[in-house]
Amino acid sequence: MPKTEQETNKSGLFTRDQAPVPLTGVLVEAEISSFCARISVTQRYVNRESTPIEAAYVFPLDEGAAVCAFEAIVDDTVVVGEVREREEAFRMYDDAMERGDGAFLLDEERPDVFQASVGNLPPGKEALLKLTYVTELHVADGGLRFTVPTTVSPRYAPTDDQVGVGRPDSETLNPPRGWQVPYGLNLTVRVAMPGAISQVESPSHPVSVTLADRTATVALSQRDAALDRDFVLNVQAAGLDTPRAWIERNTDDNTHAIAIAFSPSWGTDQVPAEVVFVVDRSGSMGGSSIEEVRNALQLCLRSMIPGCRFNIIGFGSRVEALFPASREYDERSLKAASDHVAGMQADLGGTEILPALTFAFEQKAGSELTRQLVVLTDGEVTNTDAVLALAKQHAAQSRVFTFGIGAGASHHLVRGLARAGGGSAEFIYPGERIERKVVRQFGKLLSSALTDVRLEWGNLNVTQAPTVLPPVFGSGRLLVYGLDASLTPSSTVRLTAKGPAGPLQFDVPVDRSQAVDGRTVATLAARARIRELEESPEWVLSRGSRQRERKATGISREIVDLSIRYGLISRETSFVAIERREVAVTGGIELRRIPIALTSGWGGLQDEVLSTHFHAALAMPSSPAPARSFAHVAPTGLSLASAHDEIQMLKSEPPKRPFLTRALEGLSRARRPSSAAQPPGGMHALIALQRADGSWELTPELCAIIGHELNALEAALSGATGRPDEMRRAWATAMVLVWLAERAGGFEDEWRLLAAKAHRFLDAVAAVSQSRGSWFDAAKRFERQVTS
Amino acid sequence: MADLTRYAIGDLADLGGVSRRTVRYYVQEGLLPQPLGLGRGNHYGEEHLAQLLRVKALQESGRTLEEIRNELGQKPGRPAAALMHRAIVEQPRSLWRRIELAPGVELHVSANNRLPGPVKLEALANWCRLNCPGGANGEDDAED
Repeated sequence: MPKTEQETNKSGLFTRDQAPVPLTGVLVEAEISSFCARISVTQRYVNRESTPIEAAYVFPLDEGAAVCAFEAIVDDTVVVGEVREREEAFRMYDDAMERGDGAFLLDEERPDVFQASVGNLPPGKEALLKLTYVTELHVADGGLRFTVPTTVSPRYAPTDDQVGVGRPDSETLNPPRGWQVPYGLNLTVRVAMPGAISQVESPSHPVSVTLADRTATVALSQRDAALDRDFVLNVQAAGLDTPRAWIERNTDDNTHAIAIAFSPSWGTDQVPAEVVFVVDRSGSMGGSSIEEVRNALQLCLRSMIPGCRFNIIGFGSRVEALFPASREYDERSLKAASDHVAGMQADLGGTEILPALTFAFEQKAGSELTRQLVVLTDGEVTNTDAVLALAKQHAAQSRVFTFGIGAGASHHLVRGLARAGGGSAEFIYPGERIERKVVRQFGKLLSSALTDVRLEWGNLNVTQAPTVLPPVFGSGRLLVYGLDASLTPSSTVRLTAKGPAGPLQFDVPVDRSQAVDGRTVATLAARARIRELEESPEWVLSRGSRQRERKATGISREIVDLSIRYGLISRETSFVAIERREVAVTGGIELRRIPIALTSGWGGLQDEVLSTHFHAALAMPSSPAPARSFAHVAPTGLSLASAHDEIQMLKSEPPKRPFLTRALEGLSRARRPSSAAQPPGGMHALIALQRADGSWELTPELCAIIGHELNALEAALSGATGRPDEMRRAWATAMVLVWLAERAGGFEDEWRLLAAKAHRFLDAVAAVSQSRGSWFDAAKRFERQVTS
Repeated sequence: MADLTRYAIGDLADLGGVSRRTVRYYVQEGLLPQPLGLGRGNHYGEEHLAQLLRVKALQESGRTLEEIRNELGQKPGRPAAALMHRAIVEQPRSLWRRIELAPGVELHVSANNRLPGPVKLEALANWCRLNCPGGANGEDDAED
């Protein structure tokens, strides 16, 4: 619907009722250790109206967040919150407002979406809400990734989530949105690692970093940054993979909690699999997201090995499969898939992920191969519980690997789906290098994981969390907790598992003298157990269709008990804080829903904004602004009060992508604030030329990339024997391998899988090299002769 | 008679079989009229309860809020008394409230009429759970 001029100019700066937005700023302070992060988030609310207000703010947190403290600060008085059963907390909050007291409430709507309510804030008053959470850190390949989400992307609600008694999920998870909001983000991170830090970088924001061996301090370069994209920090440090135990003593009740980290490694061989790609092509994936998907898929296609079977399923409002059933991975199917991916658009409408996954899971098995789903999505749906339950139901037959795409992908869906499907998750931030992530995922997908993973606690008596351990892959870290531990002076905890070549075991010593006072480990342990309960089919079923009365289950009670005992929030509990007032504040209380910023690049919409700011960007080519950081600068005269409707309206005219926009994107990428070196030109072109069997053709195009004359290479083949086409392929393949080793050696973890496939081709090829030795050695000799 | 009935928000929620959040939400959205009285004297009447049951039954029948608003002929936040009255007085289509007894087994109670209180209803549901096949210890093939 058309907006009046007055309305459009105010987009986001005012609430839907045209009242000033009471939230004035968000401060995030984080401390990262090798094992977990402790983060405090402070929100400042000011009532600039003449009546008392109730402010409601929907915001995201890390999906693994264990929110363990909540307090309100009013007039220098701290009001401490307590955990109560969800409806009881609301009653206390509501009663307090009726009495004329101040009231503060924190609800968990999803493990990654929360709502803060500030009740009965008098005119002219200010209140600070401070919440603290701890979260596990994800370690992979000697590095860890820390994410602070800042906005909730528009979530697609299937019909089921639009009905049911009370406030429907489609509304709770979709607060009003604007291009721009009048409150900003300030953020500092302190990093303390077990070994020397080699790299600290943010692919999302320009940051200033102070580095001192094992510690670092990171701050945003810009004050009051826009809350329209995840903050991401990558840290590389020594000692992150070392297996170890953390022991903490709760001084209140003298109980101990233990966390144990394992990073097992074992010899793994690659085994072919049936790979079914499930690709989100809904409208929200438009713009840079679908571009990232195309790049990632091209790389995925070339990471498969002979013997694999595969298919590509795209979904939106409907499901579209490339092949009627999975096909053998060969030159023809690779070509068909590659062409299909090149033309792939975000043109399939809504995000009906449930039918798409059902379709993928229920495809007829055409072989004995293990089925592996690779899901690429931004995960912006409201029915996450149902999606996770479906994956869990099929976990025995199919594993699920996920790629979260975009600046605000739903971590809960992307990580949760991989967790339920026994696979692993990776996130691809706009403009971030994807090769390492794809290689890491396919390394896991094509290798046999450790299964039947168990922990033997030896002479320790503990309650383990989670009770069932996930499969373990080569490059990850597994964290297991023990609650209420009775400690002995020293003992050994043993991880046992079934490996590809038989049983394996890994030991970690536990020494009581290492115990320190604290509650972080116990909080994370309780969170791990609560998550296990909240993702159990029984709990999901008990919530079931909202048309039915909910039946309180034993699981709900266990969640409430754990949550209250360890003082952390869950789906069944909330934090509530009451400010007793000597003089009651009465009168009508106006509800103000805080508008949140639309995720940067969402659905490709901000391409338009980019083009209008091209000149501004050109005027500061050396500024440290990140890719598209200027996209949030301007409201475009569009009010996104109801994001979905109006975005649909906007999208009915396809966004124009003028030349300047594309040029600007190129410019932005080049200025990406990444300290990581770029691979030599040609590496990606080479990857794209590789054949399904791992070989390369000897062509002028290939020769141009590796810097040789075609006729020189053909001449050097004299003396080799075998079928001419095989000889040429073997020779080209060996030359490419030498080029990769010498020119792109620093990026080996990005081409490791492709090279392994090429070496297997050379090992099997019947043609014999000119030197009668290995083709690879012959190529090395040739290269040396040419350079000398 | 109806004018004399006064419900506190908790009573209204209990009688309507919804949570207190839901009552507040319906009021915020204009699906229920504002409470009577001000501040601590705040209360609800018989007409609130009737309207609450009506909106809830419509939601249970699978109608979205948008559809319900249209059906009640009102804009959010602007309940028009006359339209509201019509919505309450006119008899709706047959509507049922569903209570799950066990996976696959439901108790259906007419939502057109005023329901027994939640305590009685829950006692009835519990009796059914204990006594019907596929109930509390259901080992029948009553799976979803």
